[in-house]
Amino acid sequence: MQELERLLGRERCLSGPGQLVAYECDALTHFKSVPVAVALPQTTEEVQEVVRACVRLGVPFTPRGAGTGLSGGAIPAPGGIVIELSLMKSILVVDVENRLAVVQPGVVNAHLSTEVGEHGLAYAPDPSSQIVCTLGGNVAENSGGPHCLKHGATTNHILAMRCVMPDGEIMDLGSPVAGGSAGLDLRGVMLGSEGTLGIVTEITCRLVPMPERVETLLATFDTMAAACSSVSKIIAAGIIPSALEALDDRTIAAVEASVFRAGYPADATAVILVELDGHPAQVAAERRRIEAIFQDVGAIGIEAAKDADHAQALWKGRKGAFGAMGRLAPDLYVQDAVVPRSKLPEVLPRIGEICDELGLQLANVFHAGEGNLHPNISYDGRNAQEVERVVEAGRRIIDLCLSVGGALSGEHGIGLEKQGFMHLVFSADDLETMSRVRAAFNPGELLNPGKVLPTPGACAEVKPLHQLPGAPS
Amino acid sequence: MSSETAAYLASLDCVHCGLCIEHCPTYRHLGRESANPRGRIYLMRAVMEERVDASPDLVEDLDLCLVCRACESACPSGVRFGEVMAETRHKLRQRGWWRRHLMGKLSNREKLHRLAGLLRLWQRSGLRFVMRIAPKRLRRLESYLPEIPPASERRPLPRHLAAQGSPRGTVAVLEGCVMSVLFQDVNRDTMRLLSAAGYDVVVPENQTCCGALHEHDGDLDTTRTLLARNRDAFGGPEISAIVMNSSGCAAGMQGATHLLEEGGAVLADRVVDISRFLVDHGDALRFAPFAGRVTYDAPCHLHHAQREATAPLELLRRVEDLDLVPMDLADHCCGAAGIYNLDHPDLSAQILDEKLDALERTGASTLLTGNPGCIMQWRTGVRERGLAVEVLHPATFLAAQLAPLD
Ligand SMILES: Cc1cc2nc3c(=O)[nH]c(=O)nc-3n(C[C@H](O)[C@H](O)[C@H](O)COP(=O)(O)OP(=O)(O)OC[C@H]3O[C@@H](n4cnc5c(N)ncnc54)[C@H](O)[C@@H]3O)c2cc1C
Ligand code: SF4
Ligand code: SF4
Repeated sequence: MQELERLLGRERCLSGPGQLVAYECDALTHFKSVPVAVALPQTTEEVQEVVRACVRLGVPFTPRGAGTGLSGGAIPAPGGIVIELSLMKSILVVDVENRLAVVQPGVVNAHLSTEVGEHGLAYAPDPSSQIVCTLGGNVAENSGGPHCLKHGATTNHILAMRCVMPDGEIMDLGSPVAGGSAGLDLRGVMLGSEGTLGIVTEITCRLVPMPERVETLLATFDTMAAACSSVSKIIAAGIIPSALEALDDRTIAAVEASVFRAGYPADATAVILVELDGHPAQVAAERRRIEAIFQDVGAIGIEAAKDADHAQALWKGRKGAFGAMGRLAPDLYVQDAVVPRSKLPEVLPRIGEICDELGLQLANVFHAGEGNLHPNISYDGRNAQEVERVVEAGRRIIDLCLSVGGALSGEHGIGLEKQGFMHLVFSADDLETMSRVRAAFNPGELLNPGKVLPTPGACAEVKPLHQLPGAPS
Repeated sequence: MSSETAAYLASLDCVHCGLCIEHCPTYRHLGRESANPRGRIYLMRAVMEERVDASPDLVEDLDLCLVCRACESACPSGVRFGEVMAETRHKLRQRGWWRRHLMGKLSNREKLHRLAGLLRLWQRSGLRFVMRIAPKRLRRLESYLPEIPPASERRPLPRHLAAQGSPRGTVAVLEGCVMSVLFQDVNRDTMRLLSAAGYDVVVPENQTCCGALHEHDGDLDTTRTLLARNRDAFGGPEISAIVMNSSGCAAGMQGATHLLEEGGAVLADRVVDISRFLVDHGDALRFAPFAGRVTYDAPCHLHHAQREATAPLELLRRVEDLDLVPMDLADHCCGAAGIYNLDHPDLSAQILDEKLDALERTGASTLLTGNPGCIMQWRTGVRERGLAVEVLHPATFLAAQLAPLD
């Protein structure tokens, strides 16, 4: 503590009991663990100093961006500190000619696009949390977003980065020259490592030119099955829209009641939101084909965004959906799993059945084009029994998705939440290989311990809400 | 377990998604979770659940909240942040954790008017140079104070101003505490605009302070007393609207709905900002053209608390030749926040600094904003930076453009 205060000053080193409690969880409020201190460095060198102090004192440390992670990745280890990167928010370089930007990790995703917008450029990956989540967090989670269907997830847009390694050394990974590569791709290893291999303190991002033409379509359906079949048909037809998203009736109702009211049809059972971008002629052709597919599968309404503002409203509604669901119950659990697109019509009703059986309220809003499901379960965290049912539903949904050939996580990561499921998809050998990689980078495991890889016992200390002393039951 | 108060239940609406945090000025500057809306709600909920004890750091970060309510506009879950904060401060006050703020002690019209007389004497005394050695907070307070208008301008408003032309109805105005001392001219302009729009204007007797600053400060008992007095003072059935020119007071009076057990809505539902009223009922108004560049800064309690984002702009667009340019961060707090600038001068100045940069980028020579605290804050900033920008209430600006009726 004194050590940190000496390094950063009182203002940027938090130790007050209230301030620390605010750091006990991220956007997944299931797990909680209070740090012993929080450091807010502003430069790579300060991060290095903080890390060195932790290593000297044997204190675990966990990096954190905006804390919008949905798998508990930024929750500190017992006895550990949080390294909060929110003050590292300078855009260091915008290189228009080479279409790249160098930023600090605390830069908010959407701010980068705003900043480079005047040059006709954008940073493509757009998680729904983009108005607040940090690029450091995006790198750590290899985040996706509605528009990653065509343009690829974070990993496709990060050229290089500077990291403070768990021993306090500074390392540069990747090559700022687009297309450059030599030796082992350590950049690729760091990407999506959920803050367990190093702390990213500088990021070189690829920027893309804004498309010449963008069209947004909204199709309305009276069954979710019809909506899903339009999705597989669009992809099967060889069209890759820039985004292809689905929302069900509960989600629509929640969004329409919120500040993100988008004008989605109130009578729909499901809507599909599609965006096309590119050359005007190609966009027009694709639009005609997609409209035909919608009609084919029995859409009850097809609407095109009137202008850019209308399109933006439609997207804001989609991106605010998670928050809007707060209207339904005090807490919200978002599952994140992937299934082959063709299985969507079969899997969705079964998820509904699971939630019905357990008496839980479900809403679906998901990246349909990628088969990336986000069943949202509303619950009351003060009810211990209900929490258990939510955990059970999460488990059954994962089992279901894996049984049809799906994956454990689309984009929210493993974190604390899904370690227990890792053995379902990886063999003991696979897991062993992964822990060797981690050990090579993070030998003492002081950096963000207890995440991603199953470490029996590690999460026993991190108690769900209802087990906390003094928590209501 | 705490009783399930309305505020506690409102805190449960937060799902911790974080979509609000970048809208929070204090978080943007301090970067810590406990100084952003999500963190604050989390801590308030924990305090109400008695899961966490109040501690100096926790109270400080709640105190650092501007109650600008930008987080409410950003929140998809509809969290009523202002209510939760007022109730929590109230609870903390009961437990002896909340210190009484300056304005809580001062917002009493009689006291304020007496003080204003003294301050004017001071400002004219030629002794102001001694301020250079005064403590920082006092210095800031001194610099923040505008020139106190002479007593003749501070005189009470007429109780009645007749409509021009045939009357379309009767509306009332609130004289206000700060408004009546420092901005009585804005009050008069407001009345002129309303009369020109064809309304009989009354200034009911027995009206009192709106209670907003007390609510801010968690003094809900006083807030309720004041609201009840105003409910009665403005109860006249002929009054179709209570037209406000201080957005902080307006938002405060709208709180009557949930704060008063009886008749709160009667007061709250008739409260309307001057801009909205004139957009809806001011078709009779004619404005002279104005050739100049003007920008608009949205007061938080108009934009976020009353959710009135468009009326001031719509109204201004009726002035021909006006070069109305948007300002970046116009929906962000200017740091005035009641008397935040006196309680937290450093952070307030940082917040204002960013806004002053935005103002300079517009190249405007007039800045309009419809709240007394914001006007004072902006005038201080503009003066300290040496900018040639006039800061006015939209009502002042529009009243000056009033064309004679034809
Ligand atoms: C409403 C909502 C919508 C969302 N939508 C999407 C979506 O569409 N797609 C998607 O992929 N995700 C989505 N997410 C999840 C989340 O926003 C992303 O995972 C995001 O990238 C997290 O960023 P953050 O800054 O909040 O990171 P945090 O939550 O603070 O941290 C996430 C992880 O990254 C690590 N970390 C943070 N910064 C660094 C760094 N500089 N170096 C190393 N490690 C670091 C942390 O230790 C932690 O393990 C959503 C979340 C919410 C609440
Ligand atoms: S206040 Fe609203 S936007 Fe902010 S974290 Fe809570 S639910 Fe999300
Ligand atoms: S009211 Fe303003 S300062 Fe307070 S938490 Fe909300 S956005 Fe931040």
